[in-house]
Formats: sequence, C-alpha cells, structure tokens
Amino acid sequence: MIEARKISMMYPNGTEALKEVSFSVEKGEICSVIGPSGCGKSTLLFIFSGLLKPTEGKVFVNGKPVNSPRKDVSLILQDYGLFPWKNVRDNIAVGMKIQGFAENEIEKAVNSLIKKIGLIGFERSYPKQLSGGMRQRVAFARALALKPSIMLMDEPFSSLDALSRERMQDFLIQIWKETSTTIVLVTHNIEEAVLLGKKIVVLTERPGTVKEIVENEGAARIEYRYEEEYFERCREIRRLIGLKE
Amino acid sequence: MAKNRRLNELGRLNKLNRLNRLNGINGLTRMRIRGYVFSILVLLTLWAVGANLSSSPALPSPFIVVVSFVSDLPVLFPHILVSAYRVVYSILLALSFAIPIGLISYKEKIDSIVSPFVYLLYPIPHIVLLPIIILLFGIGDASKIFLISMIVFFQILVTARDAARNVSDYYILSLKSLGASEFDVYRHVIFPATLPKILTAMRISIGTAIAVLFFAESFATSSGLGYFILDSWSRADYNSLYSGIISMALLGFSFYLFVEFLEKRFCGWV
Ligand SMILES: Nc1ncnc2c1ncn2[C@@H]1O[C@H](COP(=O)(O)OP(=O)(O)OP(=O)(O)O)[C@@H](O)[C@H]1O
Ligand SMILES: [Mg+2]
Repeated sequence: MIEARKISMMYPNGTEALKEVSFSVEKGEICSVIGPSGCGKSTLLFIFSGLLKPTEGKVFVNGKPVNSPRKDVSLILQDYGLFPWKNVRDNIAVGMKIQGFAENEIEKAVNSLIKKIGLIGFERSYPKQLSGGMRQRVAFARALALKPSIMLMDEPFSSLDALSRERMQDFLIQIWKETSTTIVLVTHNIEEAVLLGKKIVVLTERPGTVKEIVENEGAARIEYRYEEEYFERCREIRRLIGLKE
Repeated sequence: MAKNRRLNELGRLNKLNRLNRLNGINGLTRMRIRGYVFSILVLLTLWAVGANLSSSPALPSPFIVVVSFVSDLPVLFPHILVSAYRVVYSILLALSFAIPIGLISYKEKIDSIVSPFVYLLYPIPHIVLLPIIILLFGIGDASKIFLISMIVFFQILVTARDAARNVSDYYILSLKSLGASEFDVYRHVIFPATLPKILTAMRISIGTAIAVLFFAESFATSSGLGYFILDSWSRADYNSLYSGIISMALLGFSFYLFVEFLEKRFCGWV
C-alpha cells in the first residue's frame, strides 16, 4: 500500500511543483494519475520512488516512510530510461545485477522475460535499433525482472502510435492479472487513465493539487473499452479537467 | 489474426536485424580494407615518383627503404621494444589517473576542486618542463615516462571530465531507481557513457605521445627509436634513418589499430 500525506514540492529554483497532495493506493490496485502538462506528475513519481525528497509531507509504503529507493519498487521513467550503451539483454539484467543476484539466476530470469515480451532474436540489439514499442517492452522487462510489489510508470505509452498503445495497454493488464502488482500510472491521456485505473487521481494545473479522486471499479479489463460505463467515466474525467464536450 | 500479424512483423524485423549484422560488419570491413590498400598504393607511388625526380640520397625509393628496413630489423628491434615500453607505460599511467579523476568530476563538488587545477595547468606547454623533470627524475626512463604521461594525462582528463559533466541526470536517476550505489553509477552509467569520447581522446593522444617520445629520446640516451633516428641522421645513413622513421610510424599505427579495436568491441552502440 502507498500513502501520500500532504506532499508539497518546491524545487531549489523556486518552482512550486506540488502542493499538499494526499491520496492512497491499495495493495494490488492500479491507480491512474492524470493532469495537465507540467503539473508535477513526474515529480510525484520521483517522490514515490524515493529519488526525490518532498519539501513537506511524507510518503509511506506499507506503513514505512520512504527516504531512498526501495528494492520492491520499480520505476519506469518517461521515455523508458533505457541505457543506449547496453543491449537489450544487459538493459533487462542491470537491476538484478545491481541487487546482487547470482549470474545463473539473472540468465534464467532474463531469458524468460525476453520470451514474454516477444523479443527473441533481439538480445544483442541496442535500444536505438528498436522501435518505440519494443523499447517500451524492454523497459517493462527491466522493471519486472526485480519482481517488484509496486510499479511506478511515467507516461509509459505516450510516444507510441495508437495501435501499439492499445497492445501495450492490454499487455499491462495481462501482467497485472498475473502478478497483482500495485501500479501507479501517470498519464495525460483520459481514455488510458479510465481503461487502466481502478482509482483515478485528477490533478490541477501547477502547482499540482488533488482535484478529485474518481473510483472506477470496472477498469483494468480489456473488454472495458467497449462498455457504457467506460465512456461515462471518460466524460466525467473530461468534465473534471475542464474540457468542453 | 492480430497475433499472426505481430509475429510476421517480428519475423521481418528479426531478419532485417540479422542481415544488417552480417552485411553491415563484413561489408564495412571489406570496404575499409579496400580503402587502406588503395591509400597505401597511392602514397607509395607518390613517394617512388618523388624519389625518382629528386634523386637525392635523402629521399631513397620505397623499395630500397623496405629492403634496408628488413635488414636493419635485428638492430632495430631492441630500440622498438624500448620505445614501445616507454609509450605504453606512459599512456597506461596517464589513463589510470586521468580517467578516475575525470569521471568523479561529474559531481559538482569535486569538479569545483578539479576544474581550477585543470584550467591553470592544462594550457602550459608541458614539454618545456623537460629540463626540470630531468633535474628531478634523472636522465633515465623515469623522466621520459613522466613527461609523456603528464601530457597525455591532461588531454585525457579534459575530455573525460567534459564527457562526464555531460552525462544526463536522467540516466543516473534511471539507475538509482534500481537501487544503485555510487559505484554502480560509475560502472553502469558514467564510464560507459563517456568511453567513446575517452577513446577518441586516446587516438589523438597516441600521436602526441609518440611525438613527445621522439623529443624525449633525442638526447642523453642510447636507446629507443628517437635515438636511432638521430644517430642515423648524424652518420648520414639515410637508409637507417628511414628504417627508424618507419618503425616509429608503425608503432603509432599499431596503437591506433588497437584503439580502433576497443571502439568496435565496446562502443558498438554509438
Ligand atoms: N529539477 C527541476 N528543477 C526545477 N524545476 C523543475 C525540475 N523538474 C521539474 N521542474 C518543474 O516542475 C514542474 C513539474 O514538473 P514535472 O516534470 O513533474 O511535470 P509533469 O506533470 O511530469 O509534466 P509532463 O506532463 O510534461 O511530463 C514543471 O513546471 C517543471 O518545469
Ligand atoms: Mg512528466
């Protein structure tokens, strides 16, 4: 479980990115965070992951305050965070290597992940030789390799074309069903937030504050896309963000 | 249906990838070798024509030079070894200080200490320090190695430092989110990210190192290619003079090839 208690963030240069943000994410839940560009979504994930200290407030994971990156939390950065100098295999393995897993264990895990993400034959390719969707899947595999109990994702699908985007959303739902990982997913795409998030946190313009928390029980099913409730939720979020219909 | 299409797409990409790898590397190497052969032929021809036209003993024809190079080899060999030892030792010494210091300068705090030293000391023409170095280290190998490594040290340090300062925080955060220690950051991010620049600097340094070697071997010694060249010159033995020059060129060339090998092996991602 993740709990944000009155998080405020002011960068050293005086930019106020977040203001008194509070919400919680239940264990095994997918939570979408949606908000306009520059409202502090990435900042929020950095704080959740322990890479950044909020100027005020605290984040708790399973009741413990977060001060530095935790082993059971994986972060997928905006634009994937892959290393251009590592091939697919090494990019996936790097987290396990750092955390001191045995070589043969890494080998086994990486092989099965490469199979899972459908990149057999690309083990030795570098990120720049891959398509956007393939890179995205490598970033997924790198995060999954650590068997995290929490995954934080920063606009994971935003640079994909519509088709790859839907495929990856389905892929994410499938992974979530298999692993029941707690997921916080940042996006500025309304349909994506509604399709995936059982809870949708709507943020205001910068400095980001919680405008509304929308419960969305039907989410995280592939069929949800075609249901009336889904369209209704999309309209609701659109209204909340202040877009005209 | 959709799955099938995806498999097809993957299969196609797979094949492309493999083709690229096969054709790419072999095709490139073949083209490169052809380029080298061509340029060597052109240079030899120009040389032969020049020698013919000038018909001066100071510009013997390439055939004479090759013959005398081979016959000089037994005498030359010890000098080549001594020179190679001095350059390799110097470069390794320089790298072992310049790379770590350059890399840790990615931290603002350390850079604020390192940078002023670099900016004060780098622009000095270090070669003029030779008299002082000889006074301090004597006329043996130590002073030669110190001089060469000092010059190479600054060249590599400046490059490594600039490259490390330019590594994006994005990659460092990306690694730290995986629970990386400070050492992991050097190992997985700073070092590999800066390696291409460091190797480029090394290529340039090889030329400098050999030029400085020649200078350092030009007096108070009776070993090394610099000595051999100057000695042949003073004896007006032009064939040996050329053998010495060719040995020095080959020395530089072989280091150059080695760096190129390192680039191929470790910087394929660029
Ligand atoms: N390191 C930093 N120093 C100063 N200001 C920063 C820093 N990082 C981000 N900001 C500012 O904080 C605000 C929030 O940034 P953040 O990246 O969290 O927004 P975001 O919601 O993720 O935006 P986007 O949708 O464009 O990704 C922005 O105004 C940004 O300019
Ligand atoms: Mg962002």
